[in-house]
Amino acid sequence: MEITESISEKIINIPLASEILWLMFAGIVSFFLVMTFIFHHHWKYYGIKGNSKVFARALFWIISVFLILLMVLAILFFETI
Amino acid sequence: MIEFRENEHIIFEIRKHWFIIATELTILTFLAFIPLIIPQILEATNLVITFGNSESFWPVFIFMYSFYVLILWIIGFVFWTNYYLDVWIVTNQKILDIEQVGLFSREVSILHLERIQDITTEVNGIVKTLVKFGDLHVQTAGQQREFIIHDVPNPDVIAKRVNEVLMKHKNNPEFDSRNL
Repeated sequence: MEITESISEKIINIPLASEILWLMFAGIVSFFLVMTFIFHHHWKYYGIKGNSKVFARALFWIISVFLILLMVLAILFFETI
Repeated sequence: MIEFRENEHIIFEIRKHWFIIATELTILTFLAFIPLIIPQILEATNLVITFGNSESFWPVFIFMYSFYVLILWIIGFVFWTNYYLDVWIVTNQKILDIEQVGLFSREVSILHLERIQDITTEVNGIVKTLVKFGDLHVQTAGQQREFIIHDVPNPDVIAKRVNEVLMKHKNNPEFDSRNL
């Protein structure tokens, strides 16, 4: 970590390789997949039925995929600058 | 999967009051907004954080924030799944007490209607009194003598309905639950 001070602001530079972000991304996606499997198992076998199940599944997937895509875009943008 | 006998019908299901899940989800929502103040704090203190490049702050911040929100999102669904699967099912023959604790602990108890001896309700505290939820205690003649469902909405109304089912069952063990 490198700290530079000018008159008006203090700059903290933290060297970060995109590989670290990809590694974190792989970790969270693995966690997400495991949890998705557990949720779907529970919803299917322990009696969540009808609209609640459809709504829960749709909501879970839409928001999760949005966040995962946002992470991918952020890493790709980080790599280009 | 829960299976019922041929002449058995579900009369109603009891879940915890919505206030319980709403409180948990509100805390998570509050936690989700906290990191959004980081850029304001940095600006106010004239602090600039970079990750190798002067423009690298925002992509890394968005990545970290999405990462954090995804974890909270998954935790939210753990709460909701627990809430939804923690249920009492009242049928014309028994009460099924399904207790879901976390994702990997599940206990199913069966209370046959003929073994139920007493039903009591308990509402403690200002929030529970105002929002109208509390505990329902069911005493049975079995080995595990008391079953409790915590934080049910309108415990008095539910106790009355369970009592009604008990009375019908006492008069006619094969009663038609569709009349209730």
